[in-house]
Amino acid sequence: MTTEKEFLAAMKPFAQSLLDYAMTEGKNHGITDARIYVSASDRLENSVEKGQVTKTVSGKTYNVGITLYAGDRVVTVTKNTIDEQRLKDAMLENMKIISLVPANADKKMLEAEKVFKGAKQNLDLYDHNPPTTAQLIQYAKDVEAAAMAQPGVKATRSVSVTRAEDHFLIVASNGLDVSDSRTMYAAGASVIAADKSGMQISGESSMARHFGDMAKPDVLGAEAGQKAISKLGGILPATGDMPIVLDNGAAESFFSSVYSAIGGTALHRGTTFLKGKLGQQVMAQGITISDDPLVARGMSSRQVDTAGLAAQPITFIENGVLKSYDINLLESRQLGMEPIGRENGPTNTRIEPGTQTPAELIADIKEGIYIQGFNGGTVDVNTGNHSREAYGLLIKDGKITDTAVSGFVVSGNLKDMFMKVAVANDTPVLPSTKHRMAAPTTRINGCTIAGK
Amino acid sequence: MSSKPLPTDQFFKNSGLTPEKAREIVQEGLSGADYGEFYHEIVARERLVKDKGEFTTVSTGDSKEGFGFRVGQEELVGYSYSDLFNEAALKDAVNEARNVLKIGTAKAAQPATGMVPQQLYTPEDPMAGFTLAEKIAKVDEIEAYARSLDPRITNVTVAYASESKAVHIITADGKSLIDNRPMTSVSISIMLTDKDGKSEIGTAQTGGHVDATAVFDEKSFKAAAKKALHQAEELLVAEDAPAGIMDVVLSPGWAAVVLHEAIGHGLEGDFNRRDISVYSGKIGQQIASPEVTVIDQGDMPGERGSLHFDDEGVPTQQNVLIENGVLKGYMQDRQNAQLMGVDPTGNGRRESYAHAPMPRMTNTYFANGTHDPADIIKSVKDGLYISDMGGGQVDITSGKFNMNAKLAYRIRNGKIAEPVKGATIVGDGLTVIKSITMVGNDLALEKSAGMCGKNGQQVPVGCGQPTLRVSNMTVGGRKK
Repeated sequence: MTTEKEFLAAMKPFAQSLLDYAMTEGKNHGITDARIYVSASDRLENSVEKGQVTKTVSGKTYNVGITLYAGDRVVTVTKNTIDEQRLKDAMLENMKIISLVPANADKKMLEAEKVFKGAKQNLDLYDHNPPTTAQLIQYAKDVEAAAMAQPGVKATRSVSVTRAEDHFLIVASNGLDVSDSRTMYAAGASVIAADKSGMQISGESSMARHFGDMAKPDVLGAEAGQKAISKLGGILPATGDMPIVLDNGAAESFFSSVYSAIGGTALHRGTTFLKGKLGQQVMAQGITISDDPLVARGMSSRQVDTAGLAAQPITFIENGVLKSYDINLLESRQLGMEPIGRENGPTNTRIEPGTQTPAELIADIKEGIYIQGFNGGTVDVNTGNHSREAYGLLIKDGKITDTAVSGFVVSGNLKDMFMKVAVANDTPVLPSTKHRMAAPTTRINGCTIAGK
Repeated sequence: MSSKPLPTDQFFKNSGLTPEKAREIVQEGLSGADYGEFYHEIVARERLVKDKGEFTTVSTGDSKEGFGFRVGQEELVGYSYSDLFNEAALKDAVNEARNVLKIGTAKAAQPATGMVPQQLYTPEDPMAGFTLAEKIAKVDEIEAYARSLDPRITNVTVAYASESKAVHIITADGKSLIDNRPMTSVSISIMLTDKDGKSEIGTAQTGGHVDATAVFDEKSFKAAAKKALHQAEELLVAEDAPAGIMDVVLSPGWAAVVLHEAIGHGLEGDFNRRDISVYSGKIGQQIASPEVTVIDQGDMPGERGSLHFDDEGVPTQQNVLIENGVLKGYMQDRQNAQLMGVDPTGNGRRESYAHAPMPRMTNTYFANGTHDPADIIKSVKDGLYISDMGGGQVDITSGKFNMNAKLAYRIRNGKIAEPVKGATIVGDGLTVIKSITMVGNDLALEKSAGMCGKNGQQVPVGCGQPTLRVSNMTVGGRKK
């Protein structure tokens, strides 16, 4: 354990010294700006099997990222060392070659007047009362025991709990001076159930900034076991068009495709079907996607993005209307738009709840599929093609049955699927111990199911 | 040709340690263990990306280095890593890792076995042959060439990346093994837009276990650019793939990623030791037609997944996994080999010093069969020919996999017909391998594309196959 104060005491003068070198030595090589990023991480992972610790992985790493600017020319160098002389040598090498780098005015550093200068807000991302290693191991053992106690569970593939600590700071010649420290706890159980139909694997995980916020280990283990059991005996459904209903996890996976479609990279290249759609209806009415970087204890919370802009709540989609693209500083300049304070992408995202309960959302479906997970596949935001393997349960006469289905493909075009989305009122609260993106039970009509 | 031993100097610069002292600490740290090793790597990288006519990434001089110490006793493993390498850090890691051991139950640690004596790839710095100015000029040249190929091209993205990885392993008997592992690639994406404003992107790459000279070679980048353009052209006129069950012909080379996912992962020792793979307990059984032979081989010169020794210091070799349809063996690292009572097979691999090794594939391929590829296509009345496979995933417990067929063609009455896109191929490995009804004689291996992920660790792999016919596969497309 290192506190933020200890990290800063050791690393701030070091980073400042690198920055000073960049600007003073840099004068001889045309350097006009520089930015120094320093991070330190510490990780401990314990895996258990049959009630004993079978694997421990622990380690410490540093990372230093240096960006040098000579007018419109930019070079970056990253090294995982805090050897000051080696970093200065690397900087000097890069100063000598920067004149060779093709100019790109869009890559300039953030203008000094736009750099965040406000007071630091406490987002409570650091757990000052960490558990002991023994407590972490006991947590993992309890998860495993609860999973194995489910009738039908044959074995675990892995049960582990991780404690990680990350510190970072950035100083730059445009006045940027930010730092933060975060703890992260993550536990996962991957469980195998078996019966005469064969074996199935599934699992559940939990993560939190504070250990005390983690899912209760017996609940986590039992859920992991039940998910594997519910996949047993899965049949291939018939090929045809039918409504699908996604559980919270599958909905999270589906809605993440919105970010690919509104992302700056695809927008700049012109490879998304949502280009030129700002202010237009791109999803069904009633769908609102908001993103709040200031959630206390949030997994993706941050007050300032790494470019130096204040991170503020944003609504990307409001009642189905596209309100903002997801762009970083470079992309905002390439596209001639205002930057949005999301250099590192979306933060804590919520799909706002609808009005119906999940049961009401399903009630009129005669035949459909309740999807509990996707296994890869392709989502192409250029053409809109959506083709993903999935598993779940059959829906019959308005009810989720216990007939497991798997091995089928959900096909559709995102352009249509977005317009046919309807959501229930069960959006998880953020910070969630299970979801980075909080999405409610979601229904999509008219998808093609490729089965038998 | 035999390789001369590489020097240890670069690993001990600034460490205050001598190789002798490090070996002493490592041997001491492995006392009482069944297996384990010290693994140190120094990675240097550079990357240039040009997109929409501008350089968006110019990154040179990046480096990442560190060591990991692993100690194991039966199924117990302790692993500790650090990017700081000196005597105190090494001793800390040894103590941290040894916490997991039970005292007094160990056998003698498995010794080192050396390295493959051939030179499978160059030990030289892959980035050294060109100055930065020359590399920038090369990327410009590749982009200009690609753009010149067709007036309908609306964007070209060229990405050049090169990596050198120097590895030093000290094994339980105090032997030092050193390897330099280069990896260089050029990837070209071409966006083609038709007169209605519809666009498609084709992508191709060149490279592998090679240096920059190989990817900047005019012949190889021109071939990649033409391949990317051809893919975009075909996608632009392709219709949506059909949905349903049909006979599928897989083209030679990269389509073997199906083999990698659907069969390869299920034959890794860790899953089988724990009896949780669909292939567990099936050694000696006929699981495929006698035409099918599957091999994993890490000692092939120039191939993407080749290594002189694996990340535990075990030399790579040819491992026949399935011979004439009969399951012969699994791919092993030291731990699982010991627990299953077999020899390690040179498949213990890791992403980096911050990861413990596990059984992984190297170059996995279907051996040649007897059929002429033209006859295989002729044999299909109504089916799908997959020419450009994308990626995919597998669930090793149920064996179910899904693969994205980026570009395919309908086969009608034994002839290749119109292009189709957006097909997802799903199935389970045990059924698919039984459904391989014809194996061609045109084996090809993919050198540039394969990255394999397992438990969050990425490693480069090779895969290959001749033309194959698989009957009754589920194809998920959008056309009814």
